Parts: sequence; structure tokens; C-alpha cells
Amino acid sequence: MKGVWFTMESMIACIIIGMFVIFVSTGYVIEFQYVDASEMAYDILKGLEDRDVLRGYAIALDYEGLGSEIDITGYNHTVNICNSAGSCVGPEPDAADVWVGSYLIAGQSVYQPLEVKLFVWELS
Amino acid sequence: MVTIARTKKQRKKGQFFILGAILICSLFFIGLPRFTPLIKQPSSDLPYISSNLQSELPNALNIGLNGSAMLDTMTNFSHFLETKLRGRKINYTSLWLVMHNQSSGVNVTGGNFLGEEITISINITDGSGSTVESLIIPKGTNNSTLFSSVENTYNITIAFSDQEESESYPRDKVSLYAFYRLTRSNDVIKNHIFA
Repeated sequence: MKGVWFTMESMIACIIIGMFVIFVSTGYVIEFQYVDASEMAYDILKGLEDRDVLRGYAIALDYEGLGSEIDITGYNHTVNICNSAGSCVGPEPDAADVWVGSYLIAGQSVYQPLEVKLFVWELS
Repeated sequence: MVTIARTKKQRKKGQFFILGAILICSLFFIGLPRFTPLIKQPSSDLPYISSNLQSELPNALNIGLNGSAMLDTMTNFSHFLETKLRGRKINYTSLWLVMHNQSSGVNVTGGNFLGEEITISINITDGSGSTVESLIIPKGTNNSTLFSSVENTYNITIAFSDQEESESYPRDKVSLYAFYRLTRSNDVIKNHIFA
């Protein structure tokens, strides 16, 4: 009779470990913890582009003007505008856990490729 | 009494397995935040970069046409995208073809940024029949071919590697076909643009 109990308890232990392994291997744990604000940042830039707001500010390298068009509840943000050589204008984000979304443009009436970066971070 | 006490002690053995299992799981979850970089996370930025390219490649063509520098603009923009995306550990490879009216025909100009020489089979079909041309473009360069007589509306089929796409265009419109591939380790997005 003792052996039966030991066997049952061992099986319960195996089931617990097995369920845990399946739980982890399916990636459920990681997805649950994964919050990506970079897509939100992209969506905001895309929204500005769809409203014909983004490109004008970007070409003028007006990162402050572009930043003033953005308001994200619960988040702080800053905008950088970078040229093809990699030099950027705009303040560096001053926070930990910063997400960045970017939008690439070829120019407006003339070829002037730029990358508009929107850094977002949660308000503490 | 001694016998009973020993039996109870022995029955605890199985329960230790359960406690051990719970302990192993708990230790993993306690340690998980320290080791999250070791666990692969899905690349969430590739889809939105692809969405960005879908709208911006046609824009680049329009800017190039406005400045009468279509070839240079498309080539430079391809290099710009390669450089910017490489900074995010994304390998960007692309092929684009621009179709435009030339006399009573259609000129097809292509730029190959797929990283290897490519042979493209271009089949233009209109009311009077079908013409097939092969366009060979070495990597990182441009090349063009002329379909000398094409009716006002035509159907074009573009085939290369394992890709084949068709679309109808009016001859007088400058049209774009682009194929691009965004790759980061095992994550790949391939897409076509007709504009």
C-alpha cells in the first residue's frame, strides 16, 4: 500500500514538472512579460505621416515642433531626426527602459533621406 | 510506537518529490528576470518596418521622377535603407523595376540589391500578343530593357528566383514593382509592392 502512495506522489511531481516544461517551451511565459512600446511609437509616427505632419517637420529638422505634436498618456517622449550620414538632431532620452520607434522617409519634394526616431518611456 | 513513527516518516518520501518539483519551478521563476536576454523574443519591429517601406518606396520613386533622377534616387535610397536597417541588425535586400513609356513601347529599368546577380524574366502581354525578355542585373547595379511596341494597357509578369508576380498597367503611367526581404536571424519578412 505504501508503494502505491509513493508512486502516486511521484507521478504528481512528474506532472507538475511536465506542465511547467510545456508552459515554458510554448513561450507563454515570455509573451506574457513582453511589452513592446516601439510599435506604439511607430504607430504614432505613421499617424503623423498620414496627417501630412511628419514630413514637413522632418525636412526642416524641427524635432521640437514634431515632438509638440505628440502626446502619449503615461509616457514621456523625445524626437530625434537623423540623416543618411547618421548624425542626429534632438535630445537624447534621459531615462532607463526607453523604447524607440522610427520612420524612414526619402524626402519631400527633393531627395533627402531621413530617419525620424521617437523615444518613449514610462512616466515614473 | 517505533514502528508507527518509522512508517509515517517513510510516507513523507513521496511528498518530498512534490515539494521538490514546486521548489524547482519556483527557483526558475525567481531567477527568470535576471536571465531574460537569454530567452529569444520575437522580432516585433519587422512588420512595421515593412509597412514603412510599402509607403516610402513609391514616394522615393516620385521624388526621383520629380527631380529627373529616378535611377540615382532609387539606388541611393536602397543604400540608405541597407545602412539604416543594418544598424538594427536587419539585413535588407531588394529588387525594384520601374516601367515607363518610351515612344510606343515600355522601358523596364531594374536595380538589383539582392546580394547576387539575378536574371529576371519579364513577360509583357497586351491585346496583340506576348513578349518575353530576360533582364540580367549584376548585384548592386542597374540594367534596362525595352519592349518596343506595347498597347495602351498591358499585363506584366515578373519572375526571378522563386518569385513570380503579375500586374496590369496603363502604358503612360510610370509604374513600380519592388521586392524586398527583411531578415534578422530566423525572422524573415518578404513583400512585393506594385505602384
